[in-house]
Amino acid sequence: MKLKNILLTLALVMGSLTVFGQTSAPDNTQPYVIFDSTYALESTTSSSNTSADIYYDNTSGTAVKGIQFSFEYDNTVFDAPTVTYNNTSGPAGYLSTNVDETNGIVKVVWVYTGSSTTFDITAGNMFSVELPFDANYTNGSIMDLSFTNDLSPYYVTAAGTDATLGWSDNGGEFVEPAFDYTATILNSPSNPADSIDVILQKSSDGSTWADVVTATTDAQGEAVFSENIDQAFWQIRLKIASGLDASTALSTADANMIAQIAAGVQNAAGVQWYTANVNQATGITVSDSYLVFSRLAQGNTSYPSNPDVLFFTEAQYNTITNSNVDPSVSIPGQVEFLSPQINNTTAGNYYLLILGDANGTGLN
Amino acid sequence: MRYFKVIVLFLTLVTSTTWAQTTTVNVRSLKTHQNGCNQGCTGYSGNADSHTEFDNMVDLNSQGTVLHVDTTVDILSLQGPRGNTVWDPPRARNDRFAIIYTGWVKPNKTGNYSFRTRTDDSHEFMIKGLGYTNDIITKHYGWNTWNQRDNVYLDKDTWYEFEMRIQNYGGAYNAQFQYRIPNGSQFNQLGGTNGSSHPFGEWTTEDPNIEPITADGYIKGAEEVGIAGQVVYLKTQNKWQPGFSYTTQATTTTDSNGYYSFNTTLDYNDYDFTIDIAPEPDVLTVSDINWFQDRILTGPVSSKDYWRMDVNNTGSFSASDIYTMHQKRHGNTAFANYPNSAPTMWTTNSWQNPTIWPAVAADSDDKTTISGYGAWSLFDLANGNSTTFYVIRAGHKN
Repeated sequence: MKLKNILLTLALVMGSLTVFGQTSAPDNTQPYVIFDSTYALESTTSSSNTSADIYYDNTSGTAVKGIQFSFEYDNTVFDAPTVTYNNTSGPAGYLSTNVDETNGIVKVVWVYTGSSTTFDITAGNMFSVELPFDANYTNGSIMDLSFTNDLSPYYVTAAGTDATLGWSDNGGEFVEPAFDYTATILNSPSNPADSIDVILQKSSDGSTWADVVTATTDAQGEAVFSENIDQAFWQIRLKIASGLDASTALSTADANMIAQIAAGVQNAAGVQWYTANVNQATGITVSDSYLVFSRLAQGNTSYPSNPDVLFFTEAQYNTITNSNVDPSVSIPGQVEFLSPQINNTTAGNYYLLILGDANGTGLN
Repeated sequence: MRYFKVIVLFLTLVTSTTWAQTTTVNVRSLKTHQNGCNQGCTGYSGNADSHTEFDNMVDLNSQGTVLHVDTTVDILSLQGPRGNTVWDPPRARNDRFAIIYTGWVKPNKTGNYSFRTRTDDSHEFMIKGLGYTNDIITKHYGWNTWNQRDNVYLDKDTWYEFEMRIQNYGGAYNAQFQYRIPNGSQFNQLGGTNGSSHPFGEWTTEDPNIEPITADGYIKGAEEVGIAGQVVYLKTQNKWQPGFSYTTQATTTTDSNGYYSFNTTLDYNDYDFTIDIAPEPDVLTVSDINWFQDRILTGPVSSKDYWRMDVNNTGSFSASDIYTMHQKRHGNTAFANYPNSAPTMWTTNSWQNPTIWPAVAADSDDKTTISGYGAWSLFDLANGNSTTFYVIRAGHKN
């Protein structure tokens, strides 16, 4: 219970740092308007607009009665934004905005309209900017939000005069919606494959794919991805490159077992239709056993003409393990693994089988 | 035949119009020897025995003189100075009264007239401006004695101011006023058959020579919309007086359209006049201030904005101007005066600076930096002038 509380506290502290770390005044020399480091972009198919908060903070000790500033947005991506005041300083204020859609400039003026002489603008997410997608926008790079001098950045002093309002631009970057996925690479259901590099790929057309990031499986065989990819636009898949060296999984025991299967002493079952068929020719023969013996004897890191590893989806793997006949014709496996699209999923199991690893040691 | 009837009707109407001369004059009826002050304390005797005594008798400030009525009469009627014993002026009683006929008369002919008068008791008949002593044409201090003056030259195109005083202390009262027209052979009385044969001329109660001072115009705001309820002054000084030292003669306020007008009885021939204004800023409104705030963003600004919008006098338009307006609206004492000595008002007018307003309305530069730009001072106006004043009030859209 005590440990749980500590973890909870730690989580809250970390959360606070994450939320407010980019929304505070950088110094106490003047009041600031602030752009956060990132803003979550809505999916292009969403009925909601992308929303970005503009923050205000002031640790200078000077009372501020109003502010004016301007900022730039990507007018190739968004239609005219709307700015709303979030009542962070109470309702006695009047907001004026002007959007120059041609140049992508928004001017903002907010002034306290009440009668209190002690009023001071309260820090917080003072404004929200709603950015509807342009009808022609599908996906692509988006210019960050940034402050501009199109409207002189001023704050209003208690004497009714202007003073310079600071900018704190922490990025203002739009990021696509989060895509979180865990790929588990297994030798068998109980034998995870460690240290496998798994590549997350995306494609706008299904033919040209780009690598997004590579994650390496841990001891549980898990490669964890947490990226910003709009699944409504991108096709997403996993890739594991060919050329894995599975030497550590091979031994003379494997070669002997293959020889016994070839001699009819043992019957091949399940995955052995692949692991014992090293040369991937029809049937399991002595030549398969030879290839293993030969590789071990010569200390080679690969077979002359065959890969070390074949990849399968979980469904394929289950079909294979339940098969009493050789399924390799219909399910040949992939030397370079390219998963089916994983859009709108959060996890998946994938299997690899090592040619020559007849006794199922696996890649660990 | 039909056309003949039309011509007759036309001539009848024209003739009627031509000869329908007015004969109404002013009359003041006084009770004299009042207030237990029969004689000796009034400044006049039983009769007015001199011009001075007559002056005193008709002076309402005299102790024994009381106004009975101020009215008008037809001078050709028996209420006028005619009829001898059947003279019937408006009066409070049949003795101790005085009647003063005043007005203007324009004779029908040009030339030398003769006048003679006879009343019971004293009388004075005056035509002003002819150069006679005390303006008196005929007079008699006593009763029932004719007094005649010949060769009184009158012009038929001139209105002459006249006054005839008649008083009766006691007993009978009567009045006769007769005239002989140029080249005439006999005297004529006013009115009646005889008077109608040779009517003297046209009579009136008001001075036809006067040129009443009139003026009107507008007070408009920055948006050229009239401003209601603004005080406007009509100020005068004596005609041809050197310099400008006006005093207020009349005051009015603009109507809902910002319009003002003056229709005075002041004679333009006697006075130079001018129009002055004393515009006051109203309480600032939220709608105006919000309009200004939006204008910061939308622009473009005009020269007018440097007076009405740059209320903290920084030469630019910003949120601080808006905040200042709101505090002014709330009556925050710190903003009793606008920051940086910003003016609360700027005015100009269409006469003295006829080119200023069009420039201010059309341009976009800051003319407030031009010292004295559009400044004006009081100045003589021509009678009937219409003067539009433009007033730009800080914090007011219009």
